[in-house]
Amino acid sequence: MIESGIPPHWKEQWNDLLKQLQDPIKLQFTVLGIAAAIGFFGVYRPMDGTIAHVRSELGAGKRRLDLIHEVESLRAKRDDLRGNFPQTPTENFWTEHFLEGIRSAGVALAELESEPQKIQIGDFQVVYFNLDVSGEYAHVRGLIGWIEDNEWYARITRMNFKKRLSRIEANLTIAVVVAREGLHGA
Amino acid sequence: MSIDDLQARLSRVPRRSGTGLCLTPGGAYRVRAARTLFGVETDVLDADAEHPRALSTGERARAIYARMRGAVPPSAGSPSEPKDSPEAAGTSDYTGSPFEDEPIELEVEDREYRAAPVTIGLRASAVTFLSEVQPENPPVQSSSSDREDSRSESEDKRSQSVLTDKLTVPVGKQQIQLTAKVRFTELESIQAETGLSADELHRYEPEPWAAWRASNHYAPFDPARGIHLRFLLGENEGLAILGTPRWPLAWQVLSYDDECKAEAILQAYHLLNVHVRRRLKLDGITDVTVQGNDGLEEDWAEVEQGMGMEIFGVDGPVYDENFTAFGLALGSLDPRGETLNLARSIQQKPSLLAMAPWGEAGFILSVCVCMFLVLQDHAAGLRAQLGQVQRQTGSVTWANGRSAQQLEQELDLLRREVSPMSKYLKRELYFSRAMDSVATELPAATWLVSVNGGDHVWKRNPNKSLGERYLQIEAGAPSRQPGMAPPEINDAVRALESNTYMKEVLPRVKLTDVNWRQRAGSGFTVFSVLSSSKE
Repeated sequence: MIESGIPPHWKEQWNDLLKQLQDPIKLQFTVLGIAAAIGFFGVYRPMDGTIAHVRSELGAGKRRLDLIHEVESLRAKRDDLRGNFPQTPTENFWTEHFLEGIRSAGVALAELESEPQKIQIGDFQVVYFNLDVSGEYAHVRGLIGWIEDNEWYARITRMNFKKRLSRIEANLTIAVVVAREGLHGA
Repeated sequence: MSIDDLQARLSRVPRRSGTGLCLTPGGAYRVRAARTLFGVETDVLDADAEHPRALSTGERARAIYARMRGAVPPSAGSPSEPKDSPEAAGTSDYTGSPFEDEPIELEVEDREYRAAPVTIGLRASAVTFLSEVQPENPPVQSSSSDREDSRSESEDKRSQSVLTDKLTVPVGKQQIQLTAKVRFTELESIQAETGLSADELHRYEPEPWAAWRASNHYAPFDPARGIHLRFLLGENEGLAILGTPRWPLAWQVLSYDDECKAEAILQAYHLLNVHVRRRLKLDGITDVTVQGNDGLEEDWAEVEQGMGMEIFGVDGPVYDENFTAFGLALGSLDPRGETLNLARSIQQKPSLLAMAPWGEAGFILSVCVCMFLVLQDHAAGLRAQLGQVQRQTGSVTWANGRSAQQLEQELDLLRREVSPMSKYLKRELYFSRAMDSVATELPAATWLVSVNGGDHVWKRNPNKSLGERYLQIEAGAPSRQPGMAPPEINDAVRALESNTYMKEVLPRVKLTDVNWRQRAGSGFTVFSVLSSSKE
């Protein structure tokens, strides 16, 4: 009953195939081809696909982990750098800060002026303070040293000394950062 | 275990083995050859001359075959053995009596050959062998029978009186057709003597063909090109074989005594040389070699003179029946080799399962299994790495739920904050220390007039000659004579150049201006020195 269900031309083709395979070379190529095909399609392709998938996931995971590590590293560095500034630096804070320095250095203040810049560093904005002071050389030198070695970072960007008889007239431009929400005049 | 022991053990592990059977009126000779890692190992299993009991050829052959079937009487165990034949009825006697004094190990060893085909030699006188230029375009290898015939057609072939097998081989630019014919009765007689049915896929090969193979094994034909004539010489008989390293093309059986040996050799040479030129349409014999018993009453130089060619001796044993049996056994080692099989036309085609290259297929499949294991191991390693990475990522709680894009945005913001902040906080020039250096290094007689300094972080200095970081001092020095530059100027420049701190932060020192002035009747010089960074 089963055989009757097979079309005759299929049987002929099957017999033709068997005749062809009587040739040892053809049989050899066929058997080896089948074995190689089993190896390629049954083993290599599925395993290669699996490996490619896992490798892709691993690559994405490693990239994400690297990204997280980099963010953490930069956060730590930013926090470390922010330690050089007051918690919430404002223009008023810096004004009071420099006045205290001028008083303690013993120099005479002629002018103190703040000049906000358009330069932004993260949440901060750069403000230039122009100080015109006069006094003995040692006192003016003391003021500069106090500014540069202070707990709170301020950077002198320009300095001008002129000797007037027994005193020194000094003009300093100091760059500081203020919190952007704390921007209001001195 | 020494290397020699290991080599000896490995040499006993055969990769393939085969048996050659040479039947002569004087007896039967069987040689087993096994291909091992270290070459071909041979074992002469039967030599009738040394056997204590004289047996007829048929008896010995049947006994040999009985032993080849592993001491199982063919009448009891072999389905192919014609049980009702007179030969079969007598075989049971041979399993015990002639070889009962043989070691048991040999019988166990012989079980390996129970199903292995044997190559049986057909004596040269029974075979008609023709070689000629192929007339037209027949297939490379063919036989007189169609191999796709059914069993019934094979049986029809039995009715043929002559069995034929053909092989077409390339020799130079020629296609040479080799044809061998043998009477069917010859195979029948061998079958009757040995019990080896021609239907069992044993190979029936002309003995000279096997002798050529053995000769080529002992002393390969060199050079690879050309037509070689090799004389295989025994005590009173020999063989002159014309051939190439791949196939024999013609042969001449030699029978001689000491007096006419040279004449027989010369005669064979001339006959085969004519055959080469006229029938094979080739240029002639290119090399002549002698193997075996090369003793000659005359001088070989006379033979060389008769041939007009130089004759070379090659290594190899004396030509005899064992020599031929060894060649037959070598043929069994290569069942797919192109050779003649006179029983091909009456043999049923081997099944596809028997013909399939299971060894190679098994090798490929084992490679596939190895490949699977290697790839599986690799994938497992990658999965382990992935699990570790996922655990590490999951342990960072703040990042959970954040996409890679969000993380990259945060990273970008942080970079834009940290990079300028680092630049701002990296102070290289301390004006307080620079002023201290100036105050220390200026000569005692000089005085400071003015000091200008700059440390530009973001904005470029509009005065490019000063640079982004600089300190310019203006100082005065007394002049002893009007218009004369005081030496303190040079001292000041050199002192600022050599100051440790200034050398570190503002290494470029330059004298920019010198002016002589007079005030209140005394003259002095005002000079400017610029110290700047390298940029």
